[in-house]
Amino acid sequence: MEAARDFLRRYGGLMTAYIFAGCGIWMIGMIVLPQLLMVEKSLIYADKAASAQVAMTRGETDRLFVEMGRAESRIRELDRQIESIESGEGGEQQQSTGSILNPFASQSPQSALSAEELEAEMAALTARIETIKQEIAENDAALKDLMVEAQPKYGFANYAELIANDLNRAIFFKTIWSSVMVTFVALVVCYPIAFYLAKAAPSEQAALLMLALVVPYWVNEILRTFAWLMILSDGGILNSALLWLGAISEPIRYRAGNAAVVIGMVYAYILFMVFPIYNTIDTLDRNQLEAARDLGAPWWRIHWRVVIPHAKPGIAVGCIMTFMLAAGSYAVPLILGGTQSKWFTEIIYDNFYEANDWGLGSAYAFVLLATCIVFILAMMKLFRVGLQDIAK
Amino acid sequence: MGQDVQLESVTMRFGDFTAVRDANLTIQAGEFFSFLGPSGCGKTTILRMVSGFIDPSEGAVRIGGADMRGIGPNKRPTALIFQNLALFPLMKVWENIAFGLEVRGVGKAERHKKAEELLELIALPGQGDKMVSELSGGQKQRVAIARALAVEPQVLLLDEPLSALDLKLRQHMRAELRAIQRATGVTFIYITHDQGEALTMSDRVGVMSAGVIEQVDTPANIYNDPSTAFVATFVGENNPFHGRVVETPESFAVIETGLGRFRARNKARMAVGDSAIVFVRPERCHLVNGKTPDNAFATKVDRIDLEGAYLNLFVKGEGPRDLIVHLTNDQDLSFLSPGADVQIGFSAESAVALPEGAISREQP
Repeated sequence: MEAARDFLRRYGGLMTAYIFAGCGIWMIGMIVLPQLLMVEKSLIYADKAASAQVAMTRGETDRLFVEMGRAESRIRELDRQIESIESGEGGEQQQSTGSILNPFASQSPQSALSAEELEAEMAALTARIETIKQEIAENDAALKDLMVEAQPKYGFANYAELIANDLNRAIFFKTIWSSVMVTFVALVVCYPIAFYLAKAAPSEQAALLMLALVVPYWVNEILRTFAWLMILSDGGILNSALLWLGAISEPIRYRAGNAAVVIGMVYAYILFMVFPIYNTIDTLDRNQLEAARDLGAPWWRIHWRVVIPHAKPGIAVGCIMTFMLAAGSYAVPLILGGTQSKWFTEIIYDNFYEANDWGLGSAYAFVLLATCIVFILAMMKLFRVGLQDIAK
Repeated sequence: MGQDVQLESVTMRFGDFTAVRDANLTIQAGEFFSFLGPSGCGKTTILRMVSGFIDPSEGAVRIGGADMRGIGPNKRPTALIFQNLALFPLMKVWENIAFGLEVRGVGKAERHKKAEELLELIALPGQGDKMVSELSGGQKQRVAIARALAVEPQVLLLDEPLSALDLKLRQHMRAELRAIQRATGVTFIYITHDQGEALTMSDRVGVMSAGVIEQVDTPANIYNDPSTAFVATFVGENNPFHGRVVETPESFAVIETGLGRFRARNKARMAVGDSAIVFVRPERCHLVNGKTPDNAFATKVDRIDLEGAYLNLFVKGEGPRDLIVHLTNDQDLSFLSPGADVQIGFSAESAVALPEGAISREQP
């Protein structure tokens, strides 16, 4: 309360209202509510077998209705024929017209049937209609129970499905492992770049390199990824060059495994790793590097004991961002991935829009989200950084 | 024991800018040597050349007789104490002190022991497990010294390490630095723009201006016997009288100035006709009463600042700038008031005549 009053005093009524409304909408409307909705959806599941049964029963009923309709019209026709036989005129003409109108008529021979035979058929059809009516009534009764059974219910079946589904489970773990790989490779690639930018490069060179890093981001992610497709595809630039140089005898199929996806993602998210690390190293006093060197430290020890401990929060932020982006990536695996490198996000997408099973899709999405949160906590623990270090 | 440091015709250029010009100097082993000069005079460049972060454009830096060209700072027998100390904030105090030993592959137990010894030396026993941020300014200062001493350097380089401390602590640390230097016998090279530090601590002082070493001498000689106009004006206060040499009797020179003819020591052996400046310290000037001094001039009082034990008397000089006279407050000085006519005198022995040259603008 005291804090709120202090806030009001410092920023005035309008600004305070704006900040509170903004924070409220942001926190509740954009983070808490959608997540809660998604969690709720993920807990709703429908009994698949029951649903299938419902559909089958409905189909059966429809089929019975059609059969009944046909039987009824045949009965009407037979009725007319019997009448004309009894009146004894125009029978043949009637029949030929009837044969066109009624497919059942084609079964009957062209020669005029006796009134007795016609009546026998009519009796059989009438009996059939009775059975059909009975079957429909049975179906309706069964459907009522089935509908109750097929009703969406709360439970963990959607989660159990992921555990039970060998293929999707494997893709999930592969996605996490590959994202860890992407994060690791990005860290190894970006740390030297960030250090060079922050401490080693003369200012014009640093500006130029910074521009070179940022310019690709002016091109959208899809096009950037297509560029890698051109490089890495079987007949692409890299294979052509290697073949021409004679380094390889047949094209390497980068896209068959994970290599292409990992490369594409490291490239796609390089800035998210470079900038947090760059920002922290930039705040490192250059004298610290010189002091360590003056005390006799070789370059690797300067990094190990002075630069990396200082850059830890930046490394943690970079790793978290890169991992989250990689695990949640859709376009890169879609474009660069082969059949072997399907990403978990693609499975989620399929659940939502191909299978139209929002519950299952939400459950998958929530598992991914939870894993990412665990990853964040693990990173913070590993680098011994708190939230306030990251906020810096 | 320390080693000597020699600068042989050392010149350092950065592009078109010459930071240090033809420096020749030998700093003795075990000496406390200070480079004194205004900021941008090249003293830090000399320090960086000795420590190995840069190599001179021309000439050679020798430590213990060995040419140091191409030898990096991590391979030289020097240790540097930075202006901002550059302690490692993420390491404990003892880890900071033992960092140089860690680099040299000394085991942890031994490192810890050595750090404890050094903490003893800098009067911070048992503080090794604190973080650097928990220490006060003076304690950090001492930790920086201990960290540098831990690698047992032959030459300790100090880049204005006291400038961040308050006055009291600074004066205390001066005495402490001097004591540590005496105790260890390491050659100290101290960089400062604070003449008080340079004069009180050093065995010898090199005064620098615009990349040139103007004078290398003992503190007493630097103050009493400056050899250039810059040194005369940068170190302490001095009253200048511009003029021309008219006579050179024995070791003196007589200079014709706007306020009269003054007799002063002719250290630079100027000849008749040379442009010269006569410098006389404010404390060597006095009011003329009774016997006629070697030199005297009549002027008017401009303003009086009473400091307590003594007072600063500002009198009109030749130019727009007042001349200063320090008077001890042991007599009745109530007759002095702005506009009063006074006669100021000083002895030929206490005045020094130097060739016209650049004078320091940094009058204190």
